[in-house]
Amino acid sequence: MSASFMKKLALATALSVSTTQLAANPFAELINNVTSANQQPAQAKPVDHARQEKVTNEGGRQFAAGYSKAFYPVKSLLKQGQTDQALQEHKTIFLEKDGKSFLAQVEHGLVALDANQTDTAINAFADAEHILGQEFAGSKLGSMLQSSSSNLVSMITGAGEITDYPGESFERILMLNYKSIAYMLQGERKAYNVARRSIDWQNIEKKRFRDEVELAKKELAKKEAEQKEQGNDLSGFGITDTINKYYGKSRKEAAQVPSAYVNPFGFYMTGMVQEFDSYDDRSLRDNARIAYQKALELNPKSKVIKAAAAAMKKKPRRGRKLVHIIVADGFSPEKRTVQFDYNAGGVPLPIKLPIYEAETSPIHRFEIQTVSGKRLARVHSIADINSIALRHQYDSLPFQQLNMTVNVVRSYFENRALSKLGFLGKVVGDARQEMANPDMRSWISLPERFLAARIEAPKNLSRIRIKGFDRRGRTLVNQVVKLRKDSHNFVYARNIGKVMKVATNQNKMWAPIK
Amino acid sequence: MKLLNFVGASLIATALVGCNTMPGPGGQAGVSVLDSNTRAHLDTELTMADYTAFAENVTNKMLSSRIVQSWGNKRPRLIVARLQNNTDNENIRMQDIHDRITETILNSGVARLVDTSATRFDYVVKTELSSTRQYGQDGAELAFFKLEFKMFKIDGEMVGQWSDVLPLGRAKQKFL
Repeated sequence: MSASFMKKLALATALSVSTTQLAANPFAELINNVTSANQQPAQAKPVDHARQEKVTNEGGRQFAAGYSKAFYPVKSLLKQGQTDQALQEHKTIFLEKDGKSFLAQVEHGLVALDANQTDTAINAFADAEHILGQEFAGSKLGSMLQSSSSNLVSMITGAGEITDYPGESFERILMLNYKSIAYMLQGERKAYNVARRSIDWQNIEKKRFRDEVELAKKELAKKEAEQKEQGNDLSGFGITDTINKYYGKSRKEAAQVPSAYVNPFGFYMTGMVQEFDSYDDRSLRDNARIAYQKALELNPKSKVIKAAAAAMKKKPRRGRKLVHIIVADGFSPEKRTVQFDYNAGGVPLPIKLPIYEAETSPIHRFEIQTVSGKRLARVHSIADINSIALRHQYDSLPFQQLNMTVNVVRSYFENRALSKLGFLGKVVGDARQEMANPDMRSWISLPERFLAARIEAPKNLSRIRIKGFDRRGRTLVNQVVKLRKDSHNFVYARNIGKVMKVATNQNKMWAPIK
Repeated sequence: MKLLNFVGASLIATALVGCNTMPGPGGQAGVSVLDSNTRAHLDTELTMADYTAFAENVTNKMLSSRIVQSWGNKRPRLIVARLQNNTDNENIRMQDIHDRITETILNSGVARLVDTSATRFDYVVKTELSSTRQYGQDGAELAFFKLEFKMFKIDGEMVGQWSDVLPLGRAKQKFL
């Protein structure tokens, strides 16, 4: 019999023991121990020099694990600007193994887009959308409950990546944003239809998330009430404080946006498409203005959106072509495991939490210039995905609280059951520990932020330059972009560190130049 | 799928559950030929039958209008401009709708259709398909699709406008 079979056998045995006990008396003994025991310092763990591991200020270990770690080879290639290789690597590691996964498809779509393979990107995003419709149709549970907290097996086993992943709500909206970018790069007006859908989805997701948070809070309150009836006070449990301690760090960054549902990209894209339309039918200029205005309501500080909305009050300039530039900069935060020992009645229970860690781009500002160096436009923020992700994490704390509560109880009863089994218990315990990991999945290839610039350029302008500067004004990125002379232009630039990849619309835009 | 694998492996490994009979591939789905005019919907999206009905309804409204009737046997040159898709679905087969519109006009014999690149024409018909959606409790959804024609003379004067609306409702929950 193979080692993995033995592990599964041992694990399943342990599960059946621990879950039976859990069902019989889920909280009482644990809470009694917690409330009565003197707080003892957590046992020191042997330092594991795994990649990028570090000790947090709170005393826990932070390290890459699960999906985040598995994605490193692809991320590394993307950082080196080797997008074609990254696409192939992703296909080998993820897509060919699990092509029916939402995450595999959206990652593949984005990497394909960065490699300027728009057909592949559109197909992958369409597949991801299809998977959402097929796999999760009829589900009343959304992202959080579906992917982490409420899934009973996932919570009881502690194996967070065992269930299918439908993406976080903000990731699903970004999937549509990216699909619309891919259509724009093909010069297809279909970008408008997709962008409209993303606006609808964002409204639906916002409401769904609010409902789920309420549900999680009710679930917690219910458990607390049940325990209180049995004479156990959960308030001595300290889980809320622990959660706040580990997740509180990102509060300031999360507070940059009022909610995770203020991504204005959908409105900006519909404004952009209608602005192109307005070169054919001037009456649509007003529709474009309204769309830009709605984008501005979601990101009132954005200078580029404000300028675009103002420009729609004037008619298109004759002899000019419209150039819209989108810059996707950096990487969105990736999940990392923070492991620490939670002291439950003198028994140190290993707890693992998934926590977003931001990766800040070295670029402070971008600028669009002529090839000779004259500034044409500054590039300003459209959507701050970093803050949106952190805000989502912050607003999701009730789920993490629920998750941790169940995990602490599970670990406690497992420990008790396994300690009675002697050596076998030790083997099972090690295997169990290996399996008990939080859900580390997130759309890793997403950028940290979307920025944009808009230029009404002379018809004969054939090239522009995109420059990126650090805080001290030093040039880190300098990329010349060839424009189509016979058409309006849409430029998509992906910048990672000091490496920029640029693509322009492969076909003529549908609207004529005046 | 991963979940099923995991649970499956655990069940086998423990050997406590005895013989676990896995379900077979299941019975074959019943497939039948539907009436081509059926208006059944599995989702709040347009079907081929809707395209046909929509295009015919609005085109017939236009053909029976006073302005078109006044053409008599003159058979003016008419351009049917590219159909603009302003819905939230990029996969609607706009060409099918456009083809049905031109087919209906041609069969009526009231006008001569010319290509959009033609420099000599008398009227141009601009067409647009748009949609709005409303969402209620538990994923209930109401979608309205609207097909609209606007007819212009060569000097830009609008001489006619016709439309049809198709509402589609869904009560059950959908993921998105």
